[in-house]
This record gives sequence, structure tokens and C-alpha cells, in this order.
Amino acid sequence: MTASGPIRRHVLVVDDSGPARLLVRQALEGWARRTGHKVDVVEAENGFEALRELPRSPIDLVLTDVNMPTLSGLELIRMIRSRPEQSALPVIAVSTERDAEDAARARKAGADGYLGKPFDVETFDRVLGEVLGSKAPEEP
Amino acid sequence: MTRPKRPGDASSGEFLAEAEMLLEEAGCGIDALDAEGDDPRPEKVNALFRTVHSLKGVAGMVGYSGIADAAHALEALLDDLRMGRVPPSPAVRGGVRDGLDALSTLVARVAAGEESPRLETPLKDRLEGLVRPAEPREAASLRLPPELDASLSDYERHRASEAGKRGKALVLVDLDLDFDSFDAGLRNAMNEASAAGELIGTFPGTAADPARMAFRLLVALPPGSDVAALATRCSARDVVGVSAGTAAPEPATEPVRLPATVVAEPAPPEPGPEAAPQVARGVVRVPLEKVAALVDLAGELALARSALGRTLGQALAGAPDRGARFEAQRAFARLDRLVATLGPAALALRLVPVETLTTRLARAFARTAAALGREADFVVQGVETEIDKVLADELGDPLLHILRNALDHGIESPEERAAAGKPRRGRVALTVAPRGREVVLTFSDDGRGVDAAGIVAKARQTGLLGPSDPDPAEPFALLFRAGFSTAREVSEISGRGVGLDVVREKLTALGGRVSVRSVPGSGTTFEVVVPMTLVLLESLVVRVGDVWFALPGENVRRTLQAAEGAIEVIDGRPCFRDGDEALPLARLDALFDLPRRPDAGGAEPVVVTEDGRRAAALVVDAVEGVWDLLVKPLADSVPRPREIAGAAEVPGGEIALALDAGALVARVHSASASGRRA
Amino acid sequence: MSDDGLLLAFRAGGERFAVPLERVREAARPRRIAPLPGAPPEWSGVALVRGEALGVIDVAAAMGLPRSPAKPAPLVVVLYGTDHALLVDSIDGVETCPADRVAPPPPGRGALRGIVAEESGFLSLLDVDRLAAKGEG
Repeated sequence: MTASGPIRRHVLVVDDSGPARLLVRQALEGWARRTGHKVDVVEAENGFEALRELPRSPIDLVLTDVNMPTLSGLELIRMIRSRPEQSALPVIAVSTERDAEDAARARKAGADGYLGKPFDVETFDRVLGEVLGSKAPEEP
Repeated sequence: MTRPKRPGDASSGEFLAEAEMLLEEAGCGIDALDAEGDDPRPEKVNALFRTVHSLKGVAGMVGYSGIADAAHALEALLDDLRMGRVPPSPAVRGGVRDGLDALSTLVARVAAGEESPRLETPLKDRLEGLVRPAEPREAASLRLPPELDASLSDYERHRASEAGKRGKALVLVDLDLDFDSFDAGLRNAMNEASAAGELIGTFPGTAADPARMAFRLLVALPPGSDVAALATRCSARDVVGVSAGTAAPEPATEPVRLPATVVAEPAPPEPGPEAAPQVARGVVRVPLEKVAALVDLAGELALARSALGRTLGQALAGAPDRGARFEAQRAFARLDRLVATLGPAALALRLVPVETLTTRLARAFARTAAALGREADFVVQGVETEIDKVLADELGDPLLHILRNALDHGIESPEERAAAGKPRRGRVALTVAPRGREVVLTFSDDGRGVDAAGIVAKARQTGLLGPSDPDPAEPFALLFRAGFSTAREVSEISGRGVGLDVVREKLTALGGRVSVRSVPGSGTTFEVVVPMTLVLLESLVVRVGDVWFALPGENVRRTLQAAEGAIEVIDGRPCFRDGDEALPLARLDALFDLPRRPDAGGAEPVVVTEDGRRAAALVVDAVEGVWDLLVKPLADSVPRPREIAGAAEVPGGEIALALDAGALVARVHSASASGRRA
Repeated sequence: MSDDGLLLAFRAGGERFAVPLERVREAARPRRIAPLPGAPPEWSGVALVRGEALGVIDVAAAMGLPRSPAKPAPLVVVLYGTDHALLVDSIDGVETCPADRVAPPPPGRGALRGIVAEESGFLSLLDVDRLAAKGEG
């Protein structure tokens, strides 16, 4: 693979709802098409799976739902931030559009960005650009 | 603004499944809250809050803004409740219930095809008096490690200070877990912490080395809790006490007791058996598709076993070593037994306790009784009886209709009951019991009953019975005929133009049946009988052009490629020579007037089918395979050749038309007979 | 039954039709509709919805319009009280229809209960029971 090809991004999507994971995946695939990226999506149904997946796969970005049973998204973000090898991993918290408070909570827990559902294309592209732009993936 | 999704979109189906599940969960949640009265456990309130929040999320995502708005209003009330801004009073709980009912109605409207249902009066206005206007919260000061204090969410802070006010001890359970088993260890500790007190939050800890995972659980414990025992049960590295206080000192009757730092036994390197993954009540939830995949595999394994059995016999017949022959046969017999038990065992995975269904019925019963002004109890027996998961889901609607019918037409008003010398409160009893491979559900009410003579008179009046028809032997069966209704007026509850005929139709489609008996003045009993599992039929699937057909496996004698010359014309009839027999032969495409495919030449697949008396040969385009299929009957009102009995989904998504072997064999025989005359 | 009720309006063969909302069980997108040999042309075939085998009536064909072409994930409206579903192109939504706006159907237009004049064209109110019975004939 030459360096001139599109950048491949490995994204971990965490949500306890199957349809929600699907919608996030579709949004990511749309983003990849628009911005000339390639995207590999790994899904996790809960915080436990996410924590287990992180050291295993070369994840460049995490999109996690804020509101999940047992281990909430905020708790997951706190955990990610506490691990030295993941402390700089870009994390975007996802919640419903009306939750301005969720955005503040997520930032406090250590999220780099926040997306309200349903996504609109411009905001999705902007937030991903902001979060990924500041932290370029390591070239293999 | 996003465009609302159209009903029938893939996402609308997904939304409905998800929304119905969340509403179900929320219904159980509010029941639990009601059961706990004025002092519900905070975890219960928080769980309900989360469920409604999730519903808002899914609704918002697929563009049902009316549902998202209503969920948002209910969520605000639940947020006030979990943050202690409103008390868990009956009025507030009633408001939550109203909100859930409104959401159920909206979701039902989506199911009915409405594009973006919205409440006439926003739920926000309806819950107006209950929700508190946002006000600055008092910040509780907690003496926590600073990095933990900084990341505490508002809710966690509120729970921690609340625990302090109630004289509970706040402790941090410090876990240092091996990466390979951290989730089991963490789940176990979370379960133990919840059992011992209230688990307020999970925080990162400091791991001894990067290959381990460290967590800290913030837990509120009732006074006098055994902290050392908790540390052991959680396999904790350490449990330390933290103090809680509020900015405005509370007039506490007892000073907060701080447990001493307890150093637990060092965590064992390997989690012991008690730390194995804990699942509530030993129940694992498995998606139905996975069970279906297992059932499919069991079926294929059974077919492979049969094929092996046939060839093994031939192969062994010539084997010189008698000892090896015997061993091979014994091993095969053992395999045979295991495979034979695997199929039913896999099918049994589809069984769930009927309780999942009756809980739903009980909730609907309470709502309907309230709406109709009836006072009645719903008593259920035999909730542990097991039933196929799909049946449990599908039975909801017809059984609900029977219950509504009992409340609407059976149980009298309290005044009417008192006048008749009955207790004011009516009663509907549901007894569920297995009977052989079937499950019997009996609904008995103690209402006014139905008069057999009245039913017959009504049937004559509405024209269901002609003037010359004799009185039927089973007058109650008339209740299930289309167009029959004894309702004096069309009520809100049993309206929608759906009568008991639909109940019967639905139950028939599920392979069940329903009957009714009644004693005027003392009550009516409905008996519903359904199969315990939906029966899967081993079927041979063949294709002609684009049309797929399924034949019951037991009616298939053999399938083969008809070598040239195997089809001969005897007496002017096309015949297929199968051993000594000359069988009448027909092309399936010709039989059903399907477009004839150009002859590819060479051998064509032939299926020899038999109905127990006679056999016939059928030429098809392709034999697709053998599967266990769930064959659904097709109603008589759907026009088609009588050889087509129903339809079934073939793994992969195609639909096969299920053939009635008896009718098919008869058709081939008569077709070739007329061919001879021609 | 009163005409002054809620209707589910949809499109088929380029025209607008409606059925009483109370007769609608759900809208669904079955994975496919299997053709039924020997059935009249207005019958599109068999679909499985929530595990039930339903006969699918092509509304366009039943109303004398060109047959709906086969397509993946067809949209059907499942009816209560019959074992049938209606194949439609798209769903407009739930609408109300005052009884006094309903005019009797023109003769020879098949299983209609009435028609409602609209700004552009007509909304035809289907007679669900006759539609299914017509198929049977």
C-alpha cells in the first residue's frame, strides 16, 4: 500500500442499541465517501466490549453513546482517558440532539467532541474533522 | 429538520422492534416503582430514566420528532425524580404512567403506518404541574480523591450526597483485574456492590501494570454493612471509606459512620469459580436468529448423519475386519442417538416462560379496566409454563382481544354487580398449563355470561343464519364468525372493527384453536390451545424458473437426474420408470402454466413423490436443497391451484410455495389420464 | 360504518387511494413477493409478514392500471379481517375525510366505496372487502 492512497480510519462504535450502531455506521460510511477516507468500523455493544476491543485493534477514533446500561458512555470515556496508551485517543460522545447538558458532561468526562442525534451531515463532518484533524493517525 | 422516515422503511421496522422493547422495559420499570412506593431504589428510577432516554434517542434518530418530543418531556420528569427534585408521589408516578401510555399510543400509530405521529396536546403541557423548573442545584462537597471528584457527574454527585444525608457510608471498592478476565471480574464486583448497597458510579483506578485493568466503584452502604465481606466478594484490592457532606449541613440524627480502611485479602491471580461470569438468575439472552441458526445446523447435521448411515452400511458390508466393523457401527449408533436428541434440544432453546406474555396482558388489563370504569382483578396461574418465543410474541394481540372482550362485555359495572348480589370487584382468571405437546390457556371471567339462545337469535337477525337453517349444535361457535358482534354499542375498547373472528383467524394461523362456553349470569370461559413449538417440517425445495416449491420430506421417495431414455411414453402417457414401476410423469411448469424454459438438453432433475397410496414423477428445473421449514397456511380466499397449501421462507430469503403432496399426486394422475384420452 | 373517518392514503400506479385506517394492521416491507401460479393478474403473489402468509393484491392492477413492476423490498399495507395485503408504491399518511366530500364512484371502476375530488385529481376510497372478493372470482 502506498502512502498516496486514502487514509484508512479504524473506528470503534459503542452503543447498546443495534439500530443506533447501524445509523452511526452509515453516517461514518457517508463521511468516508465525502472526505475520501476509508473507514473500518468495529462495533461494541457495551463498555465492557469496548474496553476489551481497544488494545486489540488499531482504533483511531471512538464514537460512544452516552447513555448505556451498566457501564455508561461517560464511565467508558473516563476509563479510556485513564489508560496511558489510550489517553490521546480521539473520543466523540453521541447523544440526543436536545441534550446540551450531555455535551458538557461528556467534555468533563474527557470526550474530544460531541454529536447530537439525529446527525446532520455538516455537523458530523465538522466534528469528525476537528477531532481527527488535531490528532492525525500514525502512519503504519 | 430531518425528513420523517416513511413507514415500512427498514429503519421503521427496526425502530418499532426497538421502541416496543423499550416500552416493555419501561412498563416493567414503572410497575417496579409502584411496587416500591414512596421510597423506590434509586437504581430503579435511574434505569427507567435511561430507558426513556434511549427511546427518545431512537425516535429522534429515525426522525419521529413527535415521539422524541413526548419522550423528552417524560424524561425531564424522570430526571427530576432521580435527582430528588420531585418526590416519588402517586401523582408523579401516575404522570410517568400517563407519559408511557402516550408513548405507546404514538408507537402504535407508527405501526399502523402513520408517518410522523404527534400528540395533540404536548406531553410537556400535560406533565406541567409535575416537573420542577430548573433551579441552581446546591453543590454537595464530597471528600473524594481530587481526580475522582473532578469527573463526578451531577447525578453521581447527587446520589453520593443523598447517601450521606441518609446516614449511609460511602466507600470506594478498588479493583485491580487481569485484562483477560476483567469484564467478568468487574461485572461480578458491580453485582456484589449493587446487592450490598447502591452502586453510584464506576471510575478508573490505578493499575499496577499496563496489562491489568483497574477500576474504582463508588458504593453507598447501609450502616453496619460488613465491608470486609464485600471486599472479599468483589475480589477487591482495597475498600476505603470516603466522607460525604453537603454545603448546607443537614440536621442528621446520627453522625455519619465512617468505616475504617479495610485491607482485603490479595486478589487471587485467577478468578475463582464464584467470580465466573455472573448472569442474572442463570438466564442468558440469545437473539432468536442465533437459535434459528443452531436449529438449522442441527437439521443439516441430521441429514448428514442419514447420508453417512447409508454409505457406512455399504462400505462396511465389504470390510473384512469384524471387530472394526462392530466398533464403527457402535460409534455410529452413538452419533445417531446424540444427533437425534440435538434437534429437540435446539428447538427447546426457543421456549420461554409464558410469564413474558402474561405480564404484558396484566398491564393492558389494568389500563383497560380503568378506561372502562370496571373494578376487576386479573389472576394468573402457571406462568412458568414454557412456550415458543415467537408464539409468545404473536399471541399477545389475540389474547389481549379476549381479555378486552371479557372486560368490555363480560364484567359488569360495580353497581350492576352489587345489584346482582356479586362482589363489586370482578375477576378474570387465566390458567396456563401444558397438555402433551400443546399449551392450554383458559380465561374465565365471573361476569354476566352469554346466553346461547340470544346468540342464535342475533345470528338470525344479522343474517348469519338463514331462516331455514336449523339451530346450530355449537351456538357459541357463532361468536367467532365474521360479522357477529353482541356489543350493544361500538365501544372505544373493542372498536376498530375487529371481532372474535380475527382472534380465531390469528390463532388458526399459529396452528392453534379457540373455543368458548358460558353460563348466563355467572361467567364466560375461553379456551385457547396452541402448539408448544412451531413445528418445522423437513422439506425438499425445488425450483421451476423463478418459482420455488417445497414438498414435505416424508412425501419424497427419491430425487434423481433422469437419464435419457428414462422417460418413455406408454399408452400415450409420459411415464417415468422407477425400478419396476412406471409412474405417471408431469412437468411442474406445465402443471402450473408457468412459462416453459427452453430445453437445456441433457438430464433433468426428477422428483418422485408419493402420498402413501400412489406415486408420481415431477420434472423440475433444479433441486435447491432440504431444509426444515416453518410452513404457513395460505387462506382459502387467496386464489390459487389447490395443490398449493401454504408458503414458507427458505433460509436465504426466498419464499417457497408449499405443495400438498396428496393433491399433487392426484393431479398428475388425472392430467396424464386426460393426456391419454387426447 | 361512517365515511367520516380516518383514512390511510397511499399511491399506486400513479393515482391516490385510501382505505379506512381501522382496517389497516400495519405497513410492511416484506423481503419479496413470490408469484402465485394460476392467480388472476391483480394478485401479485404471496408475502410473509411477521410469519404470516398473505395474499398480495396489486392495487394498480386491480384498478385497471398497469401492473406494478417487481422490485426489491416492496411496500405493502396489511389489512385486518382478511388474509391479504395491498401492494402500493408509497404511503402518503393518515388523513381525515369528511363524509360530505365523498362522491359515489363512477360505474365500472371496480371495488370503490367512493371518490373525493382533490386539487389535482381524485382520491379513490377502496372497498377492501370487495377488492379481495374480486380477486377470488
